Amino acid sequence: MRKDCSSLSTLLDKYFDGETSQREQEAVETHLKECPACQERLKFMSEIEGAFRRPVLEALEKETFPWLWEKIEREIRSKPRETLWESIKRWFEITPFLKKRIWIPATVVVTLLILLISPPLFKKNSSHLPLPVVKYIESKTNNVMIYELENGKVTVIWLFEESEAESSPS
Amino acid sequence: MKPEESELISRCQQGDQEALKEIFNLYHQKVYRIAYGVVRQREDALDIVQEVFIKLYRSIKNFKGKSSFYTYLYRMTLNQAIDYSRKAKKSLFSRPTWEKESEPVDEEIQRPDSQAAQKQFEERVQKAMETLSEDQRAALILREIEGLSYHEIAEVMECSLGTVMSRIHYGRKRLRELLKEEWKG
Repeated sequence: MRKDCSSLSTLLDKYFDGETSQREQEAVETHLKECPACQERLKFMSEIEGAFRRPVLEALEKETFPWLWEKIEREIRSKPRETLWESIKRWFEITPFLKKRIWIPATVVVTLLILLISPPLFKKNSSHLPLPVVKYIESKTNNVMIYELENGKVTVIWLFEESEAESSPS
Repeated sequence: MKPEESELISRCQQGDQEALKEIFNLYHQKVYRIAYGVVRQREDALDIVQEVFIKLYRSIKNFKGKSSFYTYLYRMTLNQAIDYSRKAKKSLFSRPTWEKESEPVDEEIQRPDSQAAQKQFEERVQKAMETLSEDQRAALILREIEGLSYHEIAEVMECSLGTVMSRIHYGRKRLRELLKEEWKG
């Protein structure tokens, strides 16, 4: 097969199917005049098409269909509505969300988004103060509240009660 | 869409079985051709036609008219036929049929000049078709049996024009490779 044949390979299919533009058609026809291999290939495509179509058309010619319509009608009357399972099946067949070209890229995008936003969500906020541990100790003389922070700092608050002499009215 | 067809669909969507019958009369042969092209068995093809029209009646309310009606019907038929052949575990879409044959691949096959040779060639082509991918085979069925344009095939198969051309091109290329002993080119 010549070099030109490779470059015209796809065009030959288009030419055979009548899908070429005017310019493409002229290019193919010019090439065909000088290339027996491509002429043979075109002929072969025609033979394959015939071999594929003939059995189908012969089967169709032998068939009668009125009885088939009666069968369809009986089926529809016996079960006019589709079952729940059939509805679910139909949804799976027609929904665009289960087509590979939709759910595969969608899954990739969602996964990337999760990977991008999850670290910041779980990252500790350094400005947020850790909750202190509070201990409250009562004694006869004083009450003490002790705050212990996670960084080791300790704050002590003494609580003094007012004396009875100071609080009594004059 | 033709106005008469649009009216038929509208009536069918409202549950009018007479409208479905008219649609059946208009399209049953096309549906049968596609079904038979996939399964190559009379009984199976008839089952598929029946299932398609029953399914059509039940689901036609979902047809919004965004695509042409025949596109909608062809797509339903192709899906039903492929689904049917998978369930029945037919060998139409599996590779082994060609490879299991005991006769050698380079057996000299007569060119289809006589009727017997023609039948033999048809069987060889059919078996070679079985080795193609589902998409390649579907594209070739729509092109070579139904005579749809590339644009129409793209609409039915919900893919781009380039993808249709690719499927047809590589499908035919595969057939040439498998049948190369008959045709030197």
